[in-house]
Amino acid sequence: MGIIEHLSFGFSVAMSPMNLLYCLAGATLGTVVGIIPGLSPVTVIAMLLPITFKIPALSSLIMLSGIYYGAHHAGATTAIMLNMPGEPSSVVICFDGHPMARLGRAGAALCTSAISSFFAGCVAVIVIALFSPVLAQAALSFQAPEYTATIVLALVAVSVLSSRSLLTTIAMAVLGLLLGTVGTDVNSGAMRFTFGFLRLSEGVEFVAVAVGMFAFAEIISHLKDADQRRAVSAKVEGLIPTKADMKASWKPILRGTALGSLLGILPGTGPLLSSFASYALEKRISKHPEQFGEGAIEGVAGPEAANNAAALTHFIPMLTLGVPAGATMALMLGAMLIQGIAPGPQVLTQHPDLFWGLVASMWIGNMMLLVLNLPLIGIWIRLLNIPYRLLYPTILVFCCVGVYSVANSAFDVLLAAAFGGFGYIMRRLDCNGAPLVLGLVLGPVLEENLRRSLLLSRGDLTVFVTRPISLVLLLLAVGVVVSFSLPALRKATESRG
Amino acid sequence: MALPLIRERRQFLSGLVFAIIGLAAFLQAQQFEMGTLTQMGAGYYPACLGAALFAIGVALVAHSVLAGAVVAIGHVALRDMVFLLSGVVAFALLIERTGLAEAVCALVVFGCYNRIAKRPIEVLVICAILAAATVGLFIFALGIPVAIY
Repeated sequence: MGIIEHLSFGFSVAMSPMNLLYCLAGATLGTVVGIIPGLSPVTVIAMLLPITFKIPALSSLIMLSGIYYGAHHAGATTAIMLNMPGEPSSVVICFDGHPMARLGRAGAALCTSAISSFFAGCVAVIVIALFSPVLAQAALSFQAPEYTATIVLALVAVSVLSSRSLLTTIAMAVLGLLLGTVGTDVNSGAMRFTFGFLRLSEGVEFVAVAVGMFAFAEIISHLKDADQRRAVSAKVEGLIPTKADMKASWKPILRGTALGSLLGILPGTGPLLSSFASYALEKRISKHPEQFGEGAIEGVAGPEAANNAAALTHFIPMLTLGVPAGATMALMLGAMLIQGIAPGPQVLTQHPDLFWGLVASMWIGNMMLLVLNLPLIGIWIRLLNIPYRLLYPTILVFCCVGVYSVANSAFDVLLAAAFGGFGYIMRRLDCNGAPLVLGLVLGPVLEENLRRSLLLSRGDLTVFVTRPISLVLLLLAVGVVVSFSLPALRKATESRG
Repeated sequence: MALPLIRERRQFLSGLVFAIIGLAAFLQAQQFEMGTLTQMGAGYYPACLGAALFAIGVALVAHSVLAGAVVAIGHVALRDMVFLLSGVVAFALLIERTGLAEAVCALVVFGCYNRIAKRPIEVLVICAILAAATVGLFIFALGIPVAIY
């Protein structure tokens, strides 16, 4: 079957009334999440995970991914109107989007960002459709050593890119792997680190850790600002960009889309880094770099396209290899696991309806977002007036009931509280929670593949460097570390000298 | 303050946390069967991870003592943290003993501790709405087996 048949099959699945409804729900919720600062997609997806277990696998994935890319789509609105990222990766849009709004061109900025998001989304869906089958085919020949190397690469890349300090984030990833060993050892049946708690014999509940580390820690960080009011003028005029705007932005959109699609596939980079890279690129090749920061439309069009393309291609490693490229994708993988779908390259052949339905839904979702974002913009901006003090109790309550409902276990809620405290303290110590959650999800898979590799090679550690694919993957991991630690090294020596 | 030697305080403390957890995991893992590199027992892999975590923690502590820049720990909202998490603990303790509605109310009251005196009616309204919403969604729609009140 060619790509056209695959996609039309996907559309036939995604167009069922129920899936359309979940897609719309995801896109709408994503827009809300994207617009309200202090409400990040990771938090909301962690909060909704327990609820999605009760609905069909495809529908739940459609909704969760709608929240994810919808938030990336809409985060720019807050950045433009308030000079505050509505969602972490839209921080780049503040640089030029907000100056445009101050110049009275908020409408043009909003429209440009919506169009570039939509264009980038459409291209990224095609990239996923073309690229995933190739990658999955290649991955079918992977054996234990290759999987081990892939997981190591994903963990290293996410750690390196999620914070300034390499050692602390690697430590968080190792701690996550260690948490992944809690429970019954599959090979020997021995109980590890359960400390007599029966509930821990099946391992640490991943939803509890995600809710604690992301949702609770985030609420604690924001609580001191809960009474703040934001002054927003809800008036946006002149949504249609001028001809000059169009002319200035179509090339940045193309470049941003290409850059974002490429960087999104690599583990760890994701939307935030892609939009920074696109901004830097546009500024460098611009004929008038001095206008950047003063309201240059290129500085909105390029990064916004990169942001959205990367948000979608970010799905590729998770869907084809079963190795998530970031924290949100780790949550998606968790959703798949609990739905009883074993992630990996076989998803494409064993669950084609799931894969192609999800891909098609992404295109439908992008279409919905365009409609949701442009004509309804006035309603969304009014959302910014909801104070956080009314919002966070709702998140708190849904998180608690959600964690409880996964296994009807009050122990899990206590566990989430513990991880909330730990996550908040570690945040204050400049330690990111993403590598830990990724480590927890990948831990059991890593251990299994490591043990199998060494069993097959009779304890010979060189098995990881004598097999070509595994060697390349490990070299990539080393390359990522070296290329990102060199500038840090330089900076450290400079500051001392 | 004390500890004049330590320049990077955040790194020092995080390193200490990692080193302690790593060491504890390494020692705990000794109870399990070790096995060999070829035929790993239950303890081999966690022991390696624990040792790695300990080593990284020690390296962080060492680096924090020698680091160039002085970095202090920023504001830690300890009171917010204690009240919020007490609310979660209260929820966990109440949900199976009394029921969902009480557990939700306790959680909201703890979570809004800093406004309960200033805006009591607002907090009560939030309690009522969220209790009704969770009972409706989780008990009637999703059917989790707990008492309503």
